[in-house]
Amino acid sequence: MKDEQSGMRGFWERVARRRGLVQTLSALVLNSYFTQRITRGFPCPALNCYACPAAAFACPIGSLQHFIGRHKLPLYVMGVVGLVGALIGRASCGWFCPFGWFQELVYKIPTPKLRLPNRFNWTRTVTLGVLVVAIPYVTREPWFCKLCPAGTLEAGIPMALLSSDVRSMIGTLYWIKLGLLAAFLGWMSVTQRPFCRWVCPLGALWSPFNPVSAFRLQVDQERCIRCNQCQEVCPVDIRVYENESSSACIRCLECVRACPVECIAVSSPAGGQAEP
Amino acid sequence: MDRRRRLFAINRVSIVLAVAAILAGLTFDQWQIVLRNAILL
Repeated sequence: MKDEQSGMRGFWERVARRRGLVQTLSALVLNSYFTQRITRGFPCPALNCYACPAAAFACPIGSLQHFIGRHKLPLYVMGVVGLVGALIGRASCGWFCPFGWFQELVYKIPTPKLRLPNRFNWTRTVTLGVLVVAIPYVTREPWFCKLCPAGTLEAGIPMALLSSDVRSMIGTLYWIKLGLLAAFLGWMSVTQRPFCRWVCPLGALWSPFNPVSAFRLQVDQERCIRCNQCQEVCPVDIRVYENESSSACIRCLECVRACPVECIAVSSPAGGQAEP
Repeated sequence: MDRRRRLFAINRVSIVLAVAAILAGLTFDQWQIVLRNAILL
């Protein structure tokens, strides 16, 4: 039994070591262009702007606003988002989201770092309620998309560079979008994943699934020595032993790799109940 | 143990509801709506 447990931990550690590769491949697959005439009917499990010329899938938040703006119940989109959440919680944020990966890369720029508590991360839900649901419902316009820094980076800037028609339409809103992106770029370089932690509405949709998803973390509280190594390596700066189902956790498994006493384990994606 | 069983049940109910929502959405042709919206951007 013990051999089986250490074997599983070894497996998840090997998986976690390849996260950078998975993030790179995910960014490429989500923006692989050629299949877009068919695959753009599928919402992708990440915040990836579908106005990007190369985007192969639909952005779940953009699609959600489209339905809300038409006063239709977004059953299909919510079903896909709910299925991903129920299976892996916020693991998509840690493994598949190109904008999350981008934030981790920007944070590697050597600058003075600013550590902020996760206490106010309910602001994600405010973004979801106001910019994705309420305002699009009233105005029938996708207002989150109009301001989204991921959209500016993946679509706004490339489209303006590629098309003179788009350049001729540039107005105040475009400069506001650029300003927001610049502000987030600055913030990303000093604080870990600020957009994911305080703004992302997709993260807000997946957060409630973290305690109940099939893929989740378990901490052996008796074995844990509270050394905070998990927090040191965590891209969202949480102490996993305080709440293994934290709504901020993106299931990147960096803590599983870093834990010196090996007290963090992954529960089976099939719904099993592995012990740490 | 009870807590684990409850979480397990909630997980399975969530999966069933999500699949039901996808199927319901597909019957209303929402896949086409998503595709058209994403292509027209």
